[in-house]
Amino acid sequence: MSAILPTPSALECALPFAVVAATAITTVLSRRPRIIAATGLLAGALAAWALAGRGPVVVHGTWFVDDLGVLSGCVALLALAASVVLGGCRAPAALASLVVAGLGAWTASVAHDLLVLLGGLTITHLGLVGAGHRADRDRALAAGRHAILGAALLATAWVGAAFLIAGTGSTAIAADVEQATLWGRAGATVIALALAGLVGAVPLHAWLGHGARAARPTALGATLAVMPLAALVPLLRVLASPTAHHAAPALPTTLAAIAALSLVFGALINVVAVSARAWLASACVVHAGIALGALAIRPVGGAEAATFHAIAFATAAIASAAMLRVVGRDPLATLHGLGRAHPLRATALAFSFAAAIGAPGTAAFPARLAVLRALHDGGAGWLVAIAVLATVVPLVGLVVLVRDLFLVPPSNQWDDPPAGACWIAGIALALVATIGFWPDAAFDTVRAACRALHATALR
Amino acid sequence: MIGAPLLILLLAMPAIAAVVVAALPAAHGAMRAPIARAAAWATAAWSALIVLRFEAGVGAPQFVQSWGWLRGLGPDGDTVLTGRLGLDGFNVTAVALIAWITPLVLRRTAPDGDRRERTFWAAALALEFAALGAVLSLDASLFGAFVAASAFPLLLLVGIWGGRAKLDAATQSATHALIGAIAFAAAGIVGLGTAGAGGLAIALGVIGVVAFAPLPPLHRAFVHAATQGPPHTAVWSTAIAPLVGVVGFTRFVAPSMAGSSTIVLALAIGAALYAALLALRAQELHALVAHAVIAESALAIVGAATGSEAGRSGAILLATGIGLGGAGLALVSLALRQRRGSGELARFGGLAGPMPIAAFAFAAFASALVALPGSPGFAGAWLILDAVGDFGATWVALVVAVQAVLAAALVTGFRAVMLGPCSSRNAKLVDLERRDRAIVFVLLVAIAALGLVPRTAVDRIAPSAGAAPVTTEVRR
Amino acid sequence: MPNATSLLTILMPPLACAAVLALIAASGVARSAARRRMATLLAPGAILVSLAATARGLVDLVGGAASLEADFGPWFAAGSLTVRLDFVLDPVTALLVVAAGVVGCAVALHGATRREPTSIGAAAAITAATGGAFVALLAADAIVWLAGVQVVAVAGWVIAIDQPRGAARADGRFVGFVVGRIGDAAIAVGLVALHVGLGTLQVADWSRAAVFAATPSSPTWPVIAIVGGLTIGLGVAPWGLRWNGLATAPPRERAAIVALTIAPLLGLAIHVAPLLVRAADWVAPTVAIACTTSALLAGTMLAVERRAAQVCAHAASAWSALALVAIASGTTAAATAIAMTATLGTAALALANTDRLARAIALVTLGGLPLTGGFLCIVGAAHGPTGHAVLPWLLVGAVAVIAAGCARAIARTRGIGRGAMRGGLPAVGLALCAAAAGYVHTPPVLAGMRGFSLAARIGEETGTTGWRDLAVVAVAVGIGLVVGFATANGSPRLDRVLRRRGPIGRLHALATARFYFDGLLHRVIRLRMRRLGGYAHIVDDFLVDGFVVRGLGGVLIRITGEGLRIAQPARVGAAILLLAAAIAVGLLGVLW
Repeated sequence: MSAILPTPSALECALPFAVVAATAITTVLSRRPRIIAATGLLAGALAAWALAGRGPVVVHGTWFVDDLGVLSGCVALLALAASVVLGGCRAPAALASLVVAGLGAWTASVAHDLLVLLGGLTITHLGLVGAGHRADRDRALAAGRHAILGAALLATAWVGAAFLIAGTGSTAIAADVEQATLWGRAGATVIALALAGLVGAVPLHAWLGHGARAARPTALGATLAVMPLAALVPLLRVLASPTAHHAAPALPTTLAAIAALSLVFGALINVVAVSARAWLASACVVHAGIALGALAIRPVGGAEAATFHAIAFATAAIASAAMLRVVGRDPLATLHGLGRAHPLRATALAFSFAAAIGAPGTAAFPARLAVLRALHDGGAGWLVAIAVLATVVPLVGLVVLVRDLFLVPPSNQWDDPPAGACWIAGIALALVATIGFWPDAAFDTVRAACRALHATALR
Repeated sequence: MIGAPLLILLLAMPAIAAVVVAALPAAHGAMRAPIARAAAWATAAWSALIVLRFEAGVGAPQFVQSWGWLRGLGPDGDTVLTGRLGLDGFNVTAVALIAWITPLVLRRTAPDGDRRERTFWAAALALEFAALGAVLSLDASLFGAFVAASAFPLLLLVGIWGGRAKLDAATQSATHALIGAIAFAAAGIVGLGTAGAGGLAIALGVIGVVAFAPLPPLHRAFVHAATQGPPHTAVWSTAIAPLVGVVGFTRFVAPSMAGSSTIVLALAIGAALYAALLALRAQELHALVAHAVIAESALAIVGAATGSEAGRSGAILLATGIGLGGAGLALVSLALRQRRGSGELARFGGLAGPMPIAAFAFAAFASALVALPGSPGFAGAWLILDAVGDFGATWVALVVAVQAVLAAALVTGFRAVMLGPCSSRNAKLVDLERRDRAIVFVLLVAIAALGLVPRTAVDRIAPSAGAAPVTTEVRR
Repeated sequence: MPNATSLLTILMPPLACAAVLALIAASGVARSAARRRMATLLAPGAILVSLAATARGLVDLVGGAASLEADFGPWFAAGSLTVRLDFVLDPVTALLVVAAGVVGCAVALHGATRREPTSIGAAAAITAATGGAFVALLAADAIVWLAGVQVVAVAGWVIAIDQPRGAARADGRFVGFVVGRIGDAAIAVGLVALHVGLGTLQVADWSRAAVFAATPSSPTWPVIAIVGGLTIGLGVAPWGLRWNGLATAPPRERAAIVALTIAPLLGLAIHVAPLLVRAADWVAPTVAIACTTSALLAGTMLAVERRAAQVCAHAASAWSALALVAIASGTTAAATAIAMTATLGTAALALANTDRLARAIALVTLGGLPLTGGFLCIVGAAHGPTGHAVLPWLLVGAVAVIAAGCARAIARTRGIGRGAMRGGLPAVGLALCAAAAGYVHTPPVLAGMRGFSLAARIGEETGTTGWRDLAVVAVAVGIGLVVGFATANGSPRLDRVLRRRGPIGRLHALATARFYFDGLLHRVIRLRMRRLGGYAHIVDDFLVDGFVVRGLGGVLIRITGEGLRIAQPARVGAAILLLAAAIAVGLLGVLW
């Protein structure tokens, strides 16, 4: 592909940044911030997609434009655009925060430099925190905890970066560290673990629950879709780099253990979730376990599966957030009987929740199968068994939820759903179903994107 | 005819009909039942056409429809997870049974005039779609996907029209279907169905079968679905679910066990004996039938687990007999329960007098279930015994002992229901109606046909049973 | 007549008639008594057609053919198992078919011709049972044989639907049915083991040396399983429970149908005889001694029993035991004759309890049968591989006691004994002895005539005729008959002797009580199985449902999940913990 399309120029690489940055500014100043934000994010995604297939190329030693980065960046921008369209948030500042989060996500996706990467992630975090809901004291406290815990993880990552730079003498993610010092290796390990925490792995996942609780429905999907994805791609690059090979040899084992822990933990707290947000947050923890497991056991084959799973989960998160906006309620107990009053809404809600936990027929299911295969090929049968359990246990909870939706008499009245949320839910669920039944096209795209990750050294 | 979308059409009919019925507005509500029934009968007719075109003596699957579902797997990234449908000896009888039992059962069990009729028809057709798709699947993961498709319809049917403990029963039924589905899907992805599948794949496959078939210790959901569920799921649970489970085990798990597995054999016989003992002391009619079906399904698993051509052929044939006998028994039990208002054995007694046709039908279907001569299960049981004989006389004695206990259980049940003193209330019960008699007749004819001439089925089953396992992966 | 047609003409009429009658019964067309009679008359008609075909086949056999065979191809085949639908009519099976056919026909005819004709469903079951017996008798494949036996058993059970519904009778039938199935199960195990060892289930192969030459394994244990199953299925003591259905049956002709199970079982036993020879040396003598003892036991119980139905049950047990003795002794001819005895005799005794016509049939069939069987048994015991000095005397005693018991049973139904004893006991006694002598001596005379000798037809050696033995048997049986008739309606003197304290009294009490094995089997098998079923339910309710499903699936996961949720770090201080944890983990990773 890169032989056919010309290498992107610096201007073309800068275009997505410019578009998104301009959107952020315009959103704050505009009288129709939602339209501006959504349009700008879409335009940014288009501009980013224009770079697809034209890499991999390092631009100014700072940006690394490859298909993987383009793909994850586009997905992040689209997820944020969808979040904006969901509605429920009119404040320009909050909308601008979402756009800023998109800027950070794009930056993190295409960063070649460690500092730029962490800077992008920090901006993403700040943007997502900024989209939180402050009118409610509970939500405000949750937003605060989200901010602090996320910042703590990022701070850890910054510390690790400092170690790595001190050890290797380079700010590149993939510095040649055959002779890396202890500091360098420690730094690579700390960065990897911090990124794992930002993906949502146990025990570094504390920010996730608060982030989900703090966010409006508008930002809920964004929080769950963007941050884990934005952290996953850098983690891929770190693990694929020579640095990781010469870092602590036990890093893959550590990650595998963390993955197993996340799977079990996420599955168990999913069963006892009392609100939709808690449900989705726990699903994100399970997703983190799946992704990390794939990366830990098979960095080469597992990367495709992990990325595919992350994108599928992001789609499911958007769909779920949209459906929550449609039904307008969060505690699961208040959803009883929705199926009798509004069967279509209940079906869509159930399908979106099923998508979040990787049920058959949804996008995450083939992704999960791909991960299981990667784990099996890597000889981690024990992790396959845990992953299967972690898929089955939330499904049991889903059955109970569906039972309560359809078989219990309704206890509430429901308002008419907002149009924007309905559209986003419809598009997202259609995408989830399409990928679920015909995953080849999506998986091919992801595999092509990851090819560069393994074929070229990141220099 | 390889490549012809015969099987796709077979699956499409109930699926499309389910969607149409679900989407029909209330103004056209009266059309739901006719559309659903027509679709069910059309599916049955189409299945007959396909089965008649099926070539006996050929081991490889026929009418194969194949598509690559997920590429880029495997250590070298060149493995494709395919979705394949095909008709071979393992599923030819199952397809015919499922396709024909569904319209018969729908005729009998539809809730006429119920305001949630739409849900019933859609769910019933979806169940048929799921069952047909599962048995037609040549890949374990696809099998798991179709099994998963049965969870939601089961949840709705049992949860809406079930008995006192319907919510519990509905949750358990759906959960078990999903557990079985995920286990099978995962097993398929890690190599179940291939000759060199590892212990993990086999373990996952066994768990899937135990959850879905079902077998002890995950059999309670099945019993609840049979006792608490509405008529349709009672028949579906006792006739179709075990058949699908046995087909799945025979096609995917058994070939992966590299010939034989004494552990699986022992577990299956233990499960069969356990279920037979439960049947012996069952207090409720549907529970008796359910436990009997579980025990026989476990014996079919025993046959498949032996790994021999005779064992696998016997397993499929026995499962077919279970399907026919179980369906008939469930229908008769349903009629008795509806007339008496309860399924408790203690409330019956002496019904052979006022209901001789029901008594005869009960005896005939029970005979089919325990594989007496004249039922397809007889040939199946002997093939299984022959296969088990290679493991030693002790195993044979155990299998025979289980059959004996099961026969005693069903005879005990028959005595409790049909013989003995007849109370004044029972004496007023009306025998089977014309509609029920017609269904009983059709089922008995099928049993007799396959029982008297089992060769027609064995000649189609045995070549596939003796063929090499069909791989789930395609390498470029 | 081609063999296939000939054999089909024997097999198909009863089975087809059973199907037609079942359809008529289901359709409800024949509701009036007249129509019912017309329909039920089809049953004896169909059986008569089969009997005529059998007679035709017998003529062909006498005329020179060794056997008539027909192969209708494989019934089903997979792997190493091929079950063929081939049937054989030879002298042995022909006679047994006649016996079974006579029973079936008599029962069906009686049911169709009595004042209130039997139900069409019952007639269908009678015909199906007869057809099943024919299939079993003519089958050349052991699995087809088993199928036929199951048809007989199930048809016999189905007949019970129409019986009066007494609790004890239902219980008796159930127990008998279950014990019979236990016997079938044991036979099935033996057959499978035999197939694994020999590679064939064709009964003809069991007498071919080449088959055994190809396999090194001895058929001892399979044979023991099969013979054990046969003893259970035939109700040989201590499995007298097998005939409980007969023992508790009401006085209706349909009870006689259970006799149809005897002929096929003994038919298989006859085919097993060559295997007995090839089994371990101790097997055949053990079978002979055990069955002789069993015959004596059953005969003793039969002799003291007052109830006609119980007499019938014990007689079936005793005759079956005698047949097995003959088989163990290697005399197929004797075994065949006793098998006919057992079948016809059991049915006759059952029929004797009903009405005048049935009693007439019973008396005719009972005449001489025990005697013939007893004689042939003696011959076999004397000349077979189990020859032993004591055995013939035991057999004589058994036959005499059986004769006494049968005579008592028949006489009690008609009050014959009372009248006869008033007239002149010596005269009656002499007449009976003469009749016994005549009956006893007829078979050896016939045996010398070529063409009539069953043993010659099947190529067996009968040995020399022992006239002394014949005389002993004739006297013993004659005494048995006299005693039986004399005591048929009670004798004060005899009663005093039997009730006296001492060995005789105790023996009499034991024999009449008859509980020892029945109660034991009830406790050991039936109650134990029910208790096991109860335990299974406890395990199911508390362990599986309570722990696995609700516990593990519900409570345990919920508790763990709640615990984990509560234990999640939720305070600001957790952030510091996070940082510390990350650094610590990183350093650990480096140090590894």
